[in-house]
Amino acid sequence: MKKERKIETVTGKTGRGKSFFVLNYLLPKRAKKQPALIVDSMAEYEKAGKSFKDFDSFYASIKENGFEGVNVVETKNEKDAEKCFIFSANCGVKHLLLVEEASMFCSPYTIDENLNNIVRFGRHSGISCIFTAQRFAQLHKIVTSQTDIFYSFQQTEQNDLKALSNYLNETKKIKQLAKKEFCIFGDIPESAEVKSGEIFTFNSKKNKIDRVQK
Amino acid sequence: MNSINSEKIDEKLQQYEAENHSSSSSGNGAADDESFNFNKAGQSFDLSEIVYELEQIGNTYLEDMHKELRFSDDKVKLHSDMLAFVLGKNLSLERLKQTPEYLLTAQTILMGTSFYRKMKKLEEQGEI
Repeated sequence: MKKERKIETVTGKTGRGKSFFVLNYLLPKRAKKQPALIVDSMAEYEKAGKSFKDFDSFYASIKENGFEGVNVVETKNEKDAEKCFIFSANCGVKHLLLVEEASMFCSPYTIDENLNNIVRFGRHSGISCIFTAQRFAQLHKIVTSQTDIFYSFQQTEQNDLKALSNYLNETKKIKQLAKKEFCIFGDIPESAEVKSGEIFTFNSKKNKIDRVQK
Repeated sequence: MNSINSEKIDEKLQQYEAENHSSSSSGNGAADDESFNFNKAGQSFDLSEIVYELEQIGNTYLEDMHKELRFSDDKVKLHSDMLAFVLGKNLSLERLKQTPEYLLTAQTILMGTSFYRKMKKLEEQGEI
């Protein structure tokens, strides 16, 4: 039986509020009812859950205690990250995989084999994903084409806006976004309160997103 | 408690380790090519500039093949796969600064630059 899962991609230039939004809003919501594995290349999420200095210590702990809660693996080298993808693709447990700076593991032309499998076939194992990246254009098409919901903070580079135009009609608004503002778009049900292309900010005091009237 | 399929994970991890070991111990073909030996040439280079340029070259080159050179899909795929080797996951500058395989990655970039020059030369000669 196919399990419900969602792929979400958060992009934006550095310092625009991307990590703060993911850490404080998106991650807690998505990791509420399932275990999570964070591939933390930039050491931004160590306080988000149980932190591990490498893959081996994470795996040893999971073998002993089971796969529960939010697990942050600080991936200081590629091997650690790739082992995380192997774990995620083969663990057989419905979970959330958060990949910080996903462009480190894929480019427009190549993608890590296990990450590819997770994105393409993870639906069958119920693997939900959150990818973050500074630049939209650096993500592999497998990632962008399988993403259900995009959250784009400001992007100004021409190649990024061009890549975004495949998924959003008015990319001009992405260029003009202020700090902490982001545009939500993608496969959003018509019945949802949020409409594709609308702009929001994250209200950390009320732990909700507020619509921005432009 | 969520029980993971540790048997399958262990098997895949072992497979991964074996593949990694064999690729790292199989010798470095790039080092055999003089064009990669920057110490010998006594040149210095700014790695960040090479990374940036190569990314731009990669994008432009593939776009050119599609639009201007009108290469077949198969040929573009072949070039794309080859470029993927150099424009791949190792190429992020942030990653380069963190990874212990820094030197190896730098060699990969240089190999990519050399590859591009060779391709351009072949292109000029009308061989591709």
